[in-house]
Amino acid sequence: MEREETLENRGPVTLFVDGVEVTVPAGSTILEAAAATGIRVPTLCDHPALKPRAACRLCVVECDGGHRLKAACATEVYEGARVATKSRELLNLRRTVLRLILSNHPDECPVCERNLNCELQTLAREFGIPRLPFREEFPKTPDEKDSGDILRNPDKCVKCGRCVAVCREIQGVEAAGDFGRSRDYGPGTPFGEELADGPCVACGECVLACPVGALRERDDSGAVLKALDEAGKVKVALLSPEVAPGLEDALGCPRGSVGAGGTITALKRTGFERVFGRDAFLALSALEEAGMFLSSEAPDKPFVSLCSPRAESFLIRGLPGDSVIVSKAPNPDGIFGGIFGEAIAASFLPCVARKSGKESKNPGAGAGEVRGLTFALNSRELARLAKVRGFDLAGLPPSDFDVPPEAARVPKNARGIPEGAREDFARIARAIFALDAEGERGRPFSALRARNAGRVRTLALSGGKTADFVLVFGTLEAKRVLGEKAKGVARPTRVKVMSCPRGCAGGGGQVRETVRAFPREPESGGFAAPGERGEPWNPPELPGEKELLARLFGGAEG
Amino acid sequence: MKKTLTLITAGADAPDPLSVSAYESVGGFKGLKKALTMTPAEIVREVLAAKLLGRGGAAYPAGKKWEQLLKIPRGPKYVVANADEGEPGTFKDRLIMDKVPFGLLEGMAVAGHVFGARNGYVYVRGEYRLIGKKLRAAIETLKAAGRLGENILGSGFSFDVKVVSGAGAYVCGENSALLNSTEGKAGRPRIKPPHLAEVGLFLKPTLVNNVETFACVPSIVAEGGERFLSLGHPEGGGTKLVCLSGRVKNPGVYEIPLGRLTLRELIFDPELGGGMREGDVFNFAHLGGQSGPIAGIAGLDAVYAHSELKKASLAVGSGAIVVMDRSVGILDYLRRVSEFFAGESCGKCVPCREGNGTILRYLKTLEDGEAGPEELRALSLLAETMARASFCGLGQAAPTALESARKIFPEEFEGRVRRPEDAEVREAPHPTKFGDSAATA
Ligand SMILES: Cc1cc2nc3c(=O)[nH]c(=O)nc-3n(C[C@H](O)[C@H](O)[C@H](O)COP(=O)(O)O)c2cc1C
Ligand code: SF4
Ligand code: SF4
Ligand code: SF4
Ligand code: FES
Repeated sequence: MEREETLENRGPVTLFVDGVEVTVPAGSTILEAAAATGIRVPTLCDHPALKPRAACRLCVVECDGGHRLKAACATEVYEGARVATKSRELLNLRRTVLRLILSNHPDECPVCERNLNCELQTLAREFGIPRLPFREEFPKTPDEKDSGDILRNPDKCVKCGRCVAVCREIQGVEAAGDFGRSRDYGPGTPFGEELADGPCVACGECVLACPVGALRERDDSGAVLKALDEAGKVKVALLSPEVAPGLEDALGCPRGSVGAGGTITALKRTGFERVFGRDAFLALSALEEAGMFLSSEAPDKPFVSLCSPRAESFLIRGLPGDSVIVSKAPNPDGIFGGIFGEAIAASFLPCVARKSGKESKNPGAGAGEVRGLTFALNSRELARLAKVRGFDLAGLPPSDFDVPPEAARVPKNARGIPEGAREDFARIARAIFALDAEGERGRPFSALRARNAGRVRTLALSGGKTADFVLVFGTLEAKRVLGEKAKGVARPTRVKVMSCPRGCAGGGGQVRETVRAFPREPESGGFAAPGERGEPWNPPELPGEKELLARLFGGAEG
Repeated sequence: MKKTLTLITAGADAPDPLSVSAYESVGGFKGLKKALTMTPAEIVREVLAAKLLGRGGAAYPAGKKWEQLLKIPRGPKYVVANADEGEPGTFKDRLIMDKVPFGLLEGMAVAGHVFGARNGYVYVRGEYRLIGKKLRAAIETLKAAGRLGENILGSGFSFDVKVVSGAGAYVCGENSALLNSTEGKAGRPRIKPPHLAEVGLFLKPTLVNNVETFACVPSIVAEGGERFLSLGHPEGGGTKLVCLSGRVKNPGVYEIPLGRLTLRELIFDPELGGGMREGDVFNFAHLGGQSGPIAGIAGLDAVYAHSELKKASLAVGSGAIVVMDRSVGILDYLRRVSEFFAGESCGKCVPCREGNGTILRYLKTLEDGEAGPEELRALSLLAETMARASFCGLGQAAPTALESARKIFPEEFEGRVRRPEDAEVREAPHPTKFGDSAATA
């Protein structure tokens, strides 16, 4: 952020918050200074990763006794400032502001997805608002605006602008903007088109940023339950361990209390005959992709792997024609769906984009596209499934993952690898596996603010050659990195784009953390990143690699 | 003695407003010529001495604004004239641009010289399409006459002015929204600071003044700031264009010296407003546009000058004076004001977006005799919240008329309140007293 770039050269600032002296770095906001003295000023439109919008006016404070109040979230500290945050008068003004927000908010808390996890609700409770104020009549909730995978309920929208800001500032997509004026003001798309018809990559970051229940993903849990009742079809599930935090949060269980074992049991009792872990499919996907990468006809062009099919139009279409090779290797869900094409196959992962992946209208065309998958559910939907079925996930006896079928252990593209390149193939596959797994494990929230510039790992290949493996988080950074790489690469380069800025574990289908509960970092997976940027890198072996290669090529590889 | 002056409006009755020689025959370009021989600091000193208060409504001292911008070392700087003239009842910038467009352009050129600006913009409200056209013609004329464009009057100073057409929203008159709109973005106000003097148009240091403010500049430079000051009030010099409308006999724009005339004279003097129209009885006047205060009979003796009106809880604002007679009820009038703001709110911040609509609703309730003491209290609370917590001047000023009217016509409010015995059993909107809960203790 611009703000952060300029403060390096400025010294600390001393001010007084409610009479308490506090020294903070120049460029801090009054909100931050107040927090440093242990005072939490109420906020709604503010979000620590985004530039201030100062729209809700709940954080107003008095500076130097001035009549006009300042928004603490958007006002920089200055030397000697005398800030009052909690005069009785101020509290009453804020209360009126909050009452105004509540005045036309639907009274549907008990049936709202965000119940007990909503910033507006929390504020109302904290302020002790006794009943919904200033009301004439309750607005009728119209049908939710259907934008494919992401649904918006305009009545619940508090017009904080966080969704628009996250899409612009964090993701660089600008699929949504602020439109209208007066009471019609709010987030929208140009000409009111469906989100899915614009550049939206379906990452779901806007869903995470929304403080209330105005944005959510389409809930497929009901459809899954219905499908499970269908006779005559095999039912299989693919469970990614990354769902754990989102699942626990949505169930209201403490972190670390739900294990894969209990979840597997729940899925089985719900009707899935087989429940598989992700690693086997990820390994196979890595092998497929390694084969394609190795046999790329244009090693001077970056080989790009996208996690979401919707990202392709946003990230690739703007690049000069044919300047990158987009990987067509199936992702783990694609492998899973390919094997279980005839079955009811549901994948559980903390992702929103996958929903559209499985529905691509243009089969075979897109990267990251998933064929054969019946359902893609995220952590929150998995929690709903568990709730509807009344499972206590933490208390269920654990079960083991099923052993993936033989087919899940034979890559298609690996067969054409020439004898001499087998060792490279194995190493590349491992590199891809390690990198993709790392992307799925996610990274902390604070990373949103800093540019991540992609992580580059250089892998030594046979004959003194090398290849680069780049992992980029978030579409904003991906756009920049791809723009650079599209000019040409000096050695074979594979760029993996995770559409979500925090990776899958912090993905759009994961924990809906509320800013009120900050600072809390979502799981970063505890996966120690092997190697540093630019250094040669020895990725760990992939699961079952030895046997698989032996079977494929008749001999183990180093 | 004549009640009006012609400092800004000199040449307004010339048959051809685009005649350079006619403009020069009434002293035109004396200011610019002199300015080109002066240093920027000298010119700013004159503007400071003139005590020229911004004519757009907020009455911020122009000299101070110029001084602040001059101190900023970065460039390029831009000079922007606010010709959005969105306040209902205000039509004086239109008169300047229509009759003395050179006055505006000369003032902008002086500013351009002061700030070393190469480019100026006039943001003309969308409804003034023909005026914009005229202004473009005036710019071309001055360029051909060497008074604008390259190498002005052989001084080596070059300054070009472009006309930008407004987006038709009231809030676009707010200076940062105006710059957003000029840049082609949505016309919503920006977070300040940074002030526009630091981060303005295209993120560059920028001066935004009202059309009339710029039009005062040539005479300040030509005749000196002291003389300008002496024409007006000691705390705010010069003349002011006043727009009289409503139920007065002679509606129109009058250039009057600040600090010499009372409101009563402005409205009733035969040379000025000429009094109420036949059969009408004065009820109240709305000063300074929709965002200004209401003056009742008691306010009529206030002297028309910024500081004098302020003492009477009134304001000059844009210079509008809308006079209403007894046939117009105050509640009816306030409801219309409220409708205006509810429609014009940009919608970005809560107090203004939700507050205006709620005030409107409660005013209707009050008019219908359905309001109780809770609604009255809520009106005050909403007004205060909006005035103090809104993001920009629109929301902050929106309840001004309501608040002032409540003081003048208390009976119109208290007297309309539903007495307890009239009350049907219905839910009060505020079942608890504000501040009663533990959260506000
Ligand atoms: C909602 C709103 C509308 C405004 N409309 C106008 C306008 O139409 N014309 C204008 O000159 N100033 C308008 N202003 C004031 C400008 O923001 C700004 O103060 C002015 O252009 C500065 O020029 P001055 O100092 O020469 O008056 C408006 C302010 C607000 C908050
Ligand atoms: S899903 Fe992602 S790309 Fe689409 S609107 Fe939301 S933040 Fe933007
Ligand atoms: S949809 Fe949610 S995030 Fe977006 S403006 Fe509305 S409340 Fe804020
Ligand atoms: S006060 Fe708020 S809603 Fe009203 S115009 Fe200004 S920014 Fe927009
Ligand atoms: S205005 Fe500061 S949090 Fe909304």
